[in-house]
Amino acid sequence: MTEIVLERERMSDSKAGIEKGRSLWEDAFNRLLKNKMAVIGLAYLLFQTVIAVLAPWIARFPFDETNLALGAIPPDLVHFFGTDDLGRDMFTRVIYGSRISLMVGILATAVSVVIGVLYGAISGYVGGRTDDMMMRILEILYSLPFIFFVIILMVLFGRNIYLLFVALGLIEWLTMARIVRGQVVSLKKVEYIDAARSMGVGHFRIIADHLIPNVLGTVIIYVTLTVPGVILEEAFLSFLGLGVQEPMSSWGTLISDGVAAMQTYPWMLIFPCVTLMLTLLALNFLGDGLRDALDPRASKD
Amino acid sequence: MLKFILKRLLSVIPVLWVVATITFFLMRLAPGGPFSSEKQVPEEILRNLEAKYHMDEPLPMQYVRYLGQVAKGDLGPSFRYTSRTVNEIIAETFPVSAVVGLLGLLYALMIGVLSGIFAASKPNSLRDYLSMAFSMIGICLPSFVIGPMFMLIFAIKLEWFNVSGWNEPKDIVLPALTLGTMYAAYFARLTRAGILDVIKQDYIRTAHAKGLPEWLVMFRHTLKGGLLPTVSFLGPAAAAILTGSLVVESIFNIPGLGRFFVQSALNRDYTLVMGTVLFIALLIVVMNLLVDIAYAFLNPRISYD
Repeated sequence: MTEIVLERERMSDSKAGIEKGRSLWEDAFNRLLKNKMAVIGLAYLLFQTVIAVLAPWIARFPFDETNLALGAIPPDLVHFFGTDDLGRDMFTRVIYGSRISLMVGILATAVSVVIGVLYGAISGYVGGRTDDMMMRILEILYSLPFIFFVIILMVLFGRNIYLLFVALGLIEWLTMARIVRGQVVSLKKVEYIDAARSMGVGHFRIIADHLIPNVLGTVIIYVTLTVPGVILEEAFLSFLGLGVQEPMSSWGTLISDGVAAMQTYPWMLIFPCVTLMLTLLALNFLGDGLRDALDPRASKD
Repeated sequence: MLKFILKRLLSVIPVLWVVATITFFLMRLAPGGPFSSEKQVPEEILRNLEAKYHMDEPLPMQYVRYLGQVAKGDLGPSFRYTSRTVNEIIAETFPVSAVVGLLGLLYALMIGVLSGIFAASKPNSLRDYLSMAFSMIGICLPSFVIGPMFMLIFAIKLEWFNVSGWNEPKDIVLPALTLGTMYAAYFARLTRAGILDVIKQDYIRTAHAKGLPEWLVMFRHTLKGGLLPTVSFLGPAAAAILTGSLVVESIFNIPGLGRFFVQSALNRDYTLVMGTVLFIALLIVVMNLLVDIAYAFLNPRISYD
């Protein structure tokens, strides 16, 4: 009985004002908010980003100011993370490092998204022999040791930070292309695409207006998993001395400096390591949460 | 099956050709030759050097010559270590990397698979959450973070191992642990996910129904299908461990292929860099092939052609 009453009430409500429907994105967002670890991860990343953006105003010391008289001192109330062997404030260096690391992560991922989505969408949409050909090329590219090419590039053309964005982006688009292609192939058979085509909508408009918005969820999930990959690769290259150069610092160069000094000044190693680890953890938790939220069927558990 | 293997073997050739071509032209397009970074050499000597390495010929001819050489398995002389060939250097340094890498991979597999089974045997229990939390932390510990940390704890504070070097058998422990830890974490997650996927299948229910003890169901029935994701990740993991050796060998000062590669890149030793990249590409391709074959054996649903 009560159910019927409730139903009547609901119906009269919707007559009074047009009931506001919930979009799939709202649903996904609500699901995401229920995942505690993902929310913590998101909050941490926002915090980290704000600090990175505001670094010049937050830092109380110039990032390249050396103070040889001071030397390396352990963390205290003036230097939260201590100072390095040249007397530079480690807290300042870590937050300036986060600018480089996050920027590389975001820009290189953007490069990979543009290439990967275009390549995957075209391959899946055109289909047939073109698709075969493009996927065969992808397979060959998959087996290339890309990070070695990046190392060669960095050595040969100098450690140029813009080159680094592009080079790392060029590595990471392969999986993106493959995922997008798979989605597009299955979407292509859906009725509304047929409808659009029969109305005479052009190929470009179909890809841009119908296909890409529908693969967006998958792309977002994969982006949150690509960013930590790129941050790791940048740190890896910088650690080997092939990434950003002094006096600029990224987490990789700081860790590398920390390794050199760890016997005497362990704080030079510990703080950059912990910062990098927390960022990666946050990104992974957010990525897991997004996958559960945006694609409930694909959830692993 | 034989046809499948042959087909895969043939597909190795275009990959290696692409790698050889990219590395060759990257090197040649770069500003400055291998001899320009050294101190000023007289014009004549420079010309002699270039003639010796055939660098005075037109580019296409050099390219064809290089491909021909590589096809015969000759990677040429090293520019920097003038008395040795690239083949010799690889033959000398690769075994060191291989031992460290294999041990690291074995350790990763053992720890990863065992903790995956441990976690999946009681889903959503405390042990499941704990193992998955640990593996999440492991995924966020790249070799250049965990290596120095291990060094700080086990070599400097506890003094169980040497800080670096390659003299005693126990020098292998820290590098192998460093290389393997991140992949142990990946294997744990993949194994758990794989097992949880299989556990819902009818044949597992049947095995339980006929009264097999829990552990026998796990080891005889569940693992066979449950390990498939883990096996298919072996190829990428082995490749990544090879890349990881660049960092680990540099941290622990091990005379392996990875450290030589970084040094030769910094020295602009073109032939050594090209040779190493080609060799590593070959290794990766062969490993992927082996993994595919193992996968086909484990999963009878896969067709061979």
